[in-house]
Amino acid sequence: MSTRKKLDLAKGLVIPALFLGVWIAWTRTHESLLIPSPWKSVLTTKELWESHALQGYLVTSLRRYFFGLLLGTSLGFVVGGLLGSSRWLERFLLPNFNMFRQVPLVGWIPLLVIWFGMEDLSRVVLIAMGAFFPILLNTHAGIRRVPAGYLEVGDVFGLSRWAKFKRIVLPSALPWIRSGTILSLTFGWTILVASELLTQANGGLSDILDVGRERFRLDMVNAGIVILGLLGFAFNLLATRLWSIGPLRWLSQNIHNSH
Amino acid sequence: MSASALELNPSQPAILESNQGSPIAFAAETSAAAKPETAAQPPASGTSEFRLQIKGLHKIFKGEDKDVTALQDINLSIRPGEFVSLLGASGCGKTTLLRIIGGLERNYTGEALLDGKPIKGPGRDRGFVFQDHRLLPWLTIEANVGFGLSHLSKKERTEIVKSHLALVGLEAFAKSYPSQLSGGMAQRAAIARALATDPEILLLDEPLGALDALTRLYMQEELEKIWKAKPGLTVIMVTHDVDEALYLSDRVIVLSPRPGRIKRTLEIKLPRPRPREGHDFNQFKKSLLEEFQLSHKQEDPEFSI
Repeated sequence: MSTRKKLDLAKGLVIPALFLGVWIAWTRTHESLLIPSPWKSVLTTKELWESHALQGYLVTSLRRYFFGLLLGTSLGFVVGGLLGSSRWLERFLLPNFNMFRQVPLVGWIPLLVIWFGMEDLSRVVLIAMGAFFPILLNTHAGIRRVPAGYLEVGDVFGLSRWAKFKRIVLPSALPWIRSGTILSLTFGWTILVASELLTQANGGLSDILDVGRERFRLDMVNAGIVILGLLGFAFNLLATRLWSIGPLRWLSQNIHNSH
Repeated sequence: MSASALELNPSQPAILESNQGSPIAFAAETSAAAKPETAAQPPASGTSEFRLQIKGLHKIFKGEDKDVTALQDINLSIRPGEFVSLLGASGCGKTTLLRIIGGLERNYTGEALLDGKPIKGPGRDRGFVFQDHRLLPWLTIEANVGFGLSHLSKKERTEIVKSHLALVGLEAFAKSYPSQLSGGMAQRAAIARALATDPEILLLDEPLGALDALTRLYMQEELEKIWKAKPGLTVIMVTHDVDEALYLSDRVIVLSPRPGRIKRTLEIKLPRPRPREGHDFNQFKKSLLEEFQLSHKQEDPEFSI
């Protein structure tokens, strides 16, 4: 990392550091149930880890998250690819997807619970629905925006329809698909917590929030919030990194210089 | 300058001339103009001595309100190894003609024959270079140059790519991405990509049009070197730059707009590499500029309508 980047990063940390400082200073003299010291949250996290409760929550939540993501993004990618490749399908399906998308996702919960029960299946389906739309719309848009000039390069070399899709359309749409996956990832994480808070003692990370609220242990609630935030951040970072390795290196460069 | 150059009087009509005169008289002239051309040349029987033959070609673009005649009665024959320029102002159909030869435009009437066979679409026997380089930003330069070689083995591909990168002087940039190249370098890579499939004809659509003036001059010399390095390579270049056409071409074909038609053909019998000025060069230039009514010989075109 360059010095300049380090400096920029440091600037972003100023406000959180101040906030934490004020918080710690305040709780030194005014320790209360409503505003517990951050140290307490750290200790609580440590306890949760040592009693193996946290690991259990993690495994359960991550399992739901990944199955939901896998289902939603792969379906979204395939459907987005089909909509992008066929005007005919686009006319039939896109307006319907846009209509369904307008229903706030949590609005589907009662229906899902009746169909699939208060089980993980309902949660996985809900997460999948959340992940489905961002990747679908972005894949579709990316394919639609392939510069006609690139397709002509394929024509000049006599590429078949499929070869053009594989070698020109798909790579050209990758910046959009990347944005789609990262949006799906973020959205899916939000939906996971919403779906977990449906039921108490579901075994996932939201139990930390729930138990904390019930026992009026705000240190526990805070710990839960920070854990969820850090994990979300980590997934985002991981996805961005994965999208810039090896042959995907060009995605992180400014490609708009090139034409 | 050399005596051979002086033998040709540039103001005299060249063999392939057709359709001179006003557009009003055009309909009557069309059939008559097509005949002297075939008569002036050896009869084309089957696979001829010509790499490319265009006979009585018309191209109409269907519009919402009205149809636009892009090309009207184009007759043209190009020998193997010739460097031919299609010169004209915008709207004269020169790019459309090039795209027809490249197989990118269909729905025309008349004949377009490559080695005596009708052009049915694009093919590896023709390399196409666009005005914008159109290198694919997700591929390295070497992968871009090898884009049309996917049917070959990796070893063959690597070899061809290497030699073509050397041809355009980009060996050091094999692993770079297009965004890291300057405009002239990118266009050189695009030419290498077009030549990698070993085409018989290289089609250039204003290949230097997007470059700055100095890079342009340099690239003209590069183009000439590349053409010479590939014996037998036929080049057809679309340009609106009179100097560029004169510097590079064996033959300059002047097109005039609305409807696009061949106004004049001029053989440039000057030895290469050509000086960019001097009596002979200027004579040719003057006679070409006259075609565009730019040499003060005729009335201002604004008032001649």
